[in-house]
Amino acid sequence: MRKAAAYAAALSAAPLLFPASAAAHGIVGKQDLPISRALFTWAAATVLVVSFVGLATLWPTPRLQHPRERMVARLPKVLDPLCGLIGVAIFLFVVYVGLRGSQVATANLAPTFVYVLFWVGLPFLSLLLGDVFRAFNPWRAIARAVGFVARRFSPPEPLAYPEWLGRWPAAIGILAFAWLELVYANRDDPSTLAVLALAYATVQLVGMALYGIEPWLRKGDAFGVYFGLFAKLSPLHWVDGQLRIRRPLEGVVGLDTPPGTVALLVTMIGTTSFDGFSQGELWGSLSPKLNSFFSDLGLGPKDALEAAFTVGLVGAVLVIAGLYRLGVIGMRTAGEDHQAGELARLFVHTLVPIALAYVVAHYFSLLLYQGQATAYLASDPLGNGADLFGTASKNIDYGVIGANGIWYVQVGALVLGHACALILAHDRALALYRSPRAAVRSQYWMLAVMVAFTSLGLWLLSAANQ
Amino acid sequence: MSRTQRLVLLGVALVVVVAAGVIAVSSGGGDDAKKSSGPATIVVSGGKPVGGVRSLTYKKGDRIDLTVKSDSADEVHFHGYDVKKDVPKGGTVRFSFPATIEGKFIVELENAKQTLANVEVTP
Repeated sequence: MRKAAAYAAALSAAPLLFPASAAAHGIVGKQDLPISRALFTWAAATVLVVSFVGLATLWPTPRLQHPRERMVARLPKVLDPLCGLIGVAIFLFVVYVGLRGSQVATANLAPTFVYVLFWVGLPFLSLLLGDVFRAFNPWRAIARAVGFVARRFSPPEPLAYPEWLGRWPAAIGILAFAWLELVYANRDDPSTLAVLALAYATVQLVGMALYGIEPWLRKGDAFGVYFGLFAKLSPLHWVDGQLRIRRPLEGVVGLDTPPGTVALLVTMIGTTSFDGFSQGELWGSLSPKLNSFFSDLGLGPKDALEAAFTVGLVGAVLVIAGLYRLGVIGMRTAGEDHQAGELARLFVHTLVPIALAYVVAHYFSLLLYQGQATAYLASDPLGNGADLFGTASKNIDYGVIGANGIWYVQVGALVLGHACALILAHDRALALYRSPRAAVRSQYWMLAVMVAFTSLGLWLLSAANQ
Repeated sequence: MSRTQRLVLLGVALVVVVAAGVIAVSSGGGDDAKKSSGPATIVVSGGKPVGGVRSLTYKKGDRIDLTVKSDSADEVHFHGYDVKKDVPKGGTVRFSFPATIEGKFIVELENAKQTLANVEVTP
C-alpha cells in the first residue's frame, strides 16, 4: 500500500508532467511491471557468479587489443549519397509533419519517430548492423552536398578541431536531449520537436562548416557519436566504401578517448538510470520535497517541477560519474603508477556495453509496443484522417510479448552487458599492467564498479524501486 | 593467477549461488502474490477521485470490473486496453472486460487530465 500511495502522490504532484499517461514518455499507454524479487535475486546472483567465474577462467594474456578485420564486400559508390538523400528526405518529412500535423502527440508521427524509432530503434539497429546512422545522417549528407559544390570555389580550409573540446559537444548534446525527453513539460509537442530538430541540424551544420565534416562528426555530433559508440560493438564495420567484419566487442577496443569521452559515457548511463529512477518509489517521495523547495523560491508549478526533475537528472549522472571515479581511484592502488585520469580513459570503452544494456533493458518494450504505432502513424502522419498505406486503423497489439518475456530480455541484457564489460576490462588490464598480479588486483576494483552498475540497473527495474 | 586463487574464486561463486537459492526460496516470491481487486467503484467529485488515486491489481485472466461515477461530464480512458467511454454529468460508466494484457496502466479522466486509478495486471 505504501508503494501505491507514493505512486499516487507522485502522480498527483505531477499532473503537468504526465498529461497523457503515467509513463515518462507521454506517448505510451502501458508501463512494464517491475521484475519480481525472486528474479531480481537470481539475476544479481548470476552477475556475481559470472564475475567470479570470469575472473578465475578468463585468458591470461591479452587477446583483443589488436583488432583484425576482414573485408567481405565492396560497396557501390552510389550507396552513400543515396542513403544520405533518403536520410534528408525522412528528416524533412518528420519536421514537416511536426510543424503542420495534428498537435496531439499520439496522432502525430513526429514524437513517436523521434523518441521511439530514432532514439531507441537506432541503438538496436547499430548493434546488429553497425553504424547505419552515419550513412543516413541528414546533416552529414547536406554538408557533403554543400562541400561538393563549394569545392569549385576554393573555400577556406576548416579550422583545426580544438583538442580540449573533444567529445564534450556530444556529451552536452546527449544530456540536453535527455533533459528534453525526461524533464521538459512540452516534450511531446510535435511542433516543438520539429523546431528543436531544425535547431540541432543547424548547430551541426555550423560545426561542420567550422571544423570540417569528419572531425565534427567524430566528436561533436551528439547523435552520430551516440549511435556510433553502440555500432562499435557490432561485428559489421562500414568504412572506406567497404563492408568489413570483425569479432563482436573488438571494435570498441580501439575507441579513441579525447576529453569528454568519460563524461559522455557517464551521461549515457546516468540519464537512462534517471528514467528508471524517476518512475520509482524513492523518487516519488523525494520529488514533492524538491518541488516545494523550488515553489518556495517563487517558481510556478511547472517550472518548479522541471527544476526538481533537472536536479534529479543531473544528480543521477553525478552518481554514475562518482561510482566510476571510485573504481578508478581504487585501481590506482593496484600499483605501477598510473594516473587516475589515464585509467579513467583507458577503461571507458568497458562502459559502452553497459550503456547499451541499460538502453535495451529500459526501452526494449517501448520499441516493441510503441514501435507498432508506426504502422498507423505512417499511414496518417499528420493525424488528419489520411490512410496512405491502408494501415491507419491498425492498433498496438500488447499481446506480442508478456511481462515474463520482457523481464527475461531486461535481465538477459544486463547480465550480458556486464559479461562483455568484464571481458573488455580484463583484456585491457592484462595489456596495461606489466605484472599479472597487478592486473588482477586492478580488476577487483573495476569489477566492483561493474557489479555496482549492473545491480543498479536491476534495482531500477525491480519491485524494490517501483 | 594461481590455482589456489582460482579455486577460491570458484568457491565464492558457489557460495553466492547457494545464498541466492536460499533467499529466493525463503522469500517465496512474497511480493508477487497480490490479491485480485475484484469489482471496484470510483466516485469522482469536482474532477478528482474521492479518497485519492485508487490502486487496482488483477491477475491475467481475471475480469476487470470498474465503475466510475462522475459529477461532471468527461471521458474516462482506460489506457493500454485503450477503452474510452463518455460519462455524462452525474452519470456512471462501467468497464468490464478480461485482463488480457500484462503491465501497469492508468485510468484517466481524459479532459480533466486526472488519473483515477493505477491498474496492475500481473502474469
